[in-house]
Amino acid sequence: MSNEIALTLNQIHRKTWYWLRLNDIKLTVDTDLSPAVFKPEMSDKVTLSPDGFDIETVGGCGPQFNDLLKEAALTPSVFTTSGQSQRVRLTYDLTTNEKTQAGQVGLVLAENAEMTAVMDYVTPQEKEGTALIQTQVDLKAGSHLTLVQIHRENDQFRVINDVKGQVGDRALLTLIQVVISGKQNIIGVQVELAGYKSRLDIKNGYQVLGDHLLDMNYYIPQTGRRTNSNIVLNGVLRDKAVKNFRGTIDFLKGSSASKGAERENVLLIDDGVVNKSLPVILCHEEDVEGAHGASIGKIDNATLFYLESRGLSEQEVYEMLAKSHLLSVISQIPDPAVKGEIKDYIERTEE
Amino acid sequence: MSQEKEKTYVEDINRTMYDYKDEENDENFYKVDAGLTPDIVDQISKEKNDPEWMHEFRLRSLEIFNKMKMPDWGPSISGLDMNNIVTYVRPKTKMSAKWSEVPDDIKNTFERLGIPQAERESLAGVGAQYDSELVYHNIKKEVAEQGVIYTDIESALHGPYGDMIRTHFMKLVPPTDHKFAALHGAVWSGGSFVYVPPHVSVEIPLQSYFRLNAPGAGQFEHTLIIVDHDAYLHFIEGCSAPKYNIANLHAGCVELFVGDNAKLRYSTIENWSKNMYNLNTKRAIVSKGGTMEWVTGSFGSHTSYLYPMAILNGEGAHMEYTGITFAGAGQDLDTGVKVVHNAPHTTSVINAKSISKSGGKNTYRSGVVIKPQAKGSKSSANCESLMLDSESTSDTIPTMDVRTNDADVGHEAKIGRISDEAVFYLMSRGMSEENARALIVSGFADNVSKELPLEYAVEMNNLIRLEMVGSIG
Repeated sequence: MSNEIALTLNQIHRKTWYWLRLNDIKLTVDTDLSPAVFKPEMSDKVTLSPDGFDIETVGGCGPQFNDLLKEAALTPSVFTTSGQSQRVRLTYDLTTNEKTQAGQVGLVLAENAEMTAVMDYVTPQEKEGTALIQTQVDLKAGSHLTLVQIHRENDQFRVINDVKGQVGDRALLTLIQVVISGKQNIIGVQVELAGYKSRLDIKNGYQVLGDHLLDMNYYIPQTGRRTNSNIVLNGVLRDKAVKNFRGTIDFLKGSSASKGAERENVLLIDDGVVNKSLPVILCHEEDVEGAHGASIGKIDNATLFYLESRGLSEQEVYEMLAKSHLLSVISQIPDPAVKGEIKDYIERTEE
Repeated sequence: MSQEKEKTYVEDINRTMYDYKDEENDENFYKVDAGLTPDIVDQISKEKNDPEWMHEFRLRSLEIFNKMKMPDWGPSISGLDMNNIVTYVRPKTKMSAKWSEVPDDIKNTFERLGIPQAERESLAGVGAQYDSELVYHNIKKEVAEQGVIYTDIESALHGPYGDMIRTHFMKLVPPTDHKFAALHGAVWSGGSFVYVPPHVSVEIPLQSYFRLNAPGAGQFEHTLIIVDHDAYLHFIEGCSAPKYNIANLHAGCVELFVGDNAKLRYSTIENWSKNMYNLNTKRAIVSKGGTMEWVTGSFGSHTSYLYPMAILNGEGAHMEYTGITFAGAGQDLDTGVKVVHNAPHTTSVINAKSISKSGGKNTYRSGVVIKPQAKGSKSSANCESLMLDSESTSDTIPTMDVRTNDADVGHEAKIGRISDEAVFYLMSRGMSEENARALIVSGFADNVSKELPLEYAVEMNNLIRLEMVGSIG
């Protein structure tokens, strides 16, 4: 007999009107969790241990999600490195067993270390299920982590992807998230820019098809001086897809001379889609620069006319631009093998 | 030798002329007890000689108010205790169409505020409300001869427009909309009714001015405007109150009906005192080809919840919002706009600005909703916030909900300080640094003032006197 719990996830840091139904998302999740199964590949200067994972810090999915994983008393997998150009790849088979899978991954970079980590969520079997994955990043001074997360689970599957952590002095976190498929993808990111000149660069490319759901919440508190955050989302919605985006840049006291920007481009292909966007800037410091922009809708007439005049049909234009939204993010994956693999995967799924 | 940068100094808004207080006593004023009970609602209804349907409406609204929760998504209103608010205060005088018949102390207050002068020089009609009732209401003869109706809403309710009032009253903003709409439904008093017939263009504005003089009181005026097809009206609303050490409350309601191809511009200069809780609701419904323009300058209040809204209900309907909010010490102003695109080829343009200083808190909050049937619709929003020190805060919380692929929605927002590049550019054109910064900040606040008639632009600019010393940062 399964035990289910109702969770409130992805709560926006500052609420808006309730009638917009965007302050959070409510889901039911099984509390009977089994450890997530993944196949790790890692470079020689990366070590793996269960130590160093902070279970108290909350990620973007919120405190109820964090409490659920704490209760589950999982054994985290913490990857630590002090080397340069290190690599970790975790390929998750989320359909290994019948239960809801859950996992906690830590990525710890010592001073001036550099690593690319790829987390690939796949479901080889065509069956429904849920996976809860929490990733913690801890970047010491001068380090650089490129974290690539790829959602390509089957159309019956749900993944709740929670990211949390902090970035130290002069460190950089590049977070590349690609959402290709999945019945429900719930993504929450809360990473603090605490260090002087710390930086966060988030690029998210997504496509949402059928009656699928993508729900995102990014909360970036900037507490260090001269910090810089940049969130860019390029997405495509088809059929009766539903997408919710909440992005909050929070310039807290101490973040003078900092910058933060959010940019969202959403291409709406079909008439039954639902797009909700809530890009928030909170400012408690005078000497900062914050900006956000959103562009939502169809292809503009000038672009359409130009491409049609080059011999493409309207449908071909839409397909080409839809693919370009995803590829613009995939092309930034630094690992050529992974990049090529994902591009091929997309080509195959389109055939 | 490096020169230490000095901060840009923006003077606080000068409130001297608005802080004038008239003494109110039992001899010249009538008021109900503080608090909110069915008996008090009955008293108000009896004072106003309500028709029975309105009396019942008030009591139902009170029930709704008591059942609804306080909002928890915006600024704190924990300092507002309805048990201490007097919901009805009226001068013991009748409304008049002549200033000479208005009691001297009240007339002098409006003279200080420039209302009679403005009426003489630049308005088609004026309604002046003092606490809970109108003391003066007049429309110029030539405007009335066009068939324009501009009267206090209670005369309209009891007169030949009673059915029109009943058909429209709190249909656009029902008492169930939110807790303070319900409160308004229970204790509303005063306000104006305007009807502009088809094809009539009222070339000079009508104005209502609201003055809340009594300490610890509330003002709950109701403004109902119907602009029939192919007509035009510019309506201006002003308000002020002297400052007290106890809370005052403003929970007015504005309902606007814009007919086919009609145009309505609704301008507000809000200058409530810093003990005021301003929880006002304004909503327009726009028919085919109609245009609704909101022009808003918010400078006062201790706490504000203020979001003019338009429902674009007919094909080709259009809304424009131009607003500026200035939050100084002790103020928490949550302002913005809402628009629902409910028909094809509707358009909306939003241009909002804010300045925060001396610990003021500014929140820009918006909601743009494009329904599935709003094909071919477009919406564009631009929001800019200027923070002048680190004691203040400025938050932007815009939401876009789009439910058709055949729409274009764009939103841009910026927050920060004056751009050094802009200053350099102006200096390269021969301007001093001080003048360059003054020009930029004046221009920042200019988007609202240029939309107002000159006299009101001057008043608005008097509310913000900018003193530039050095540069920001």
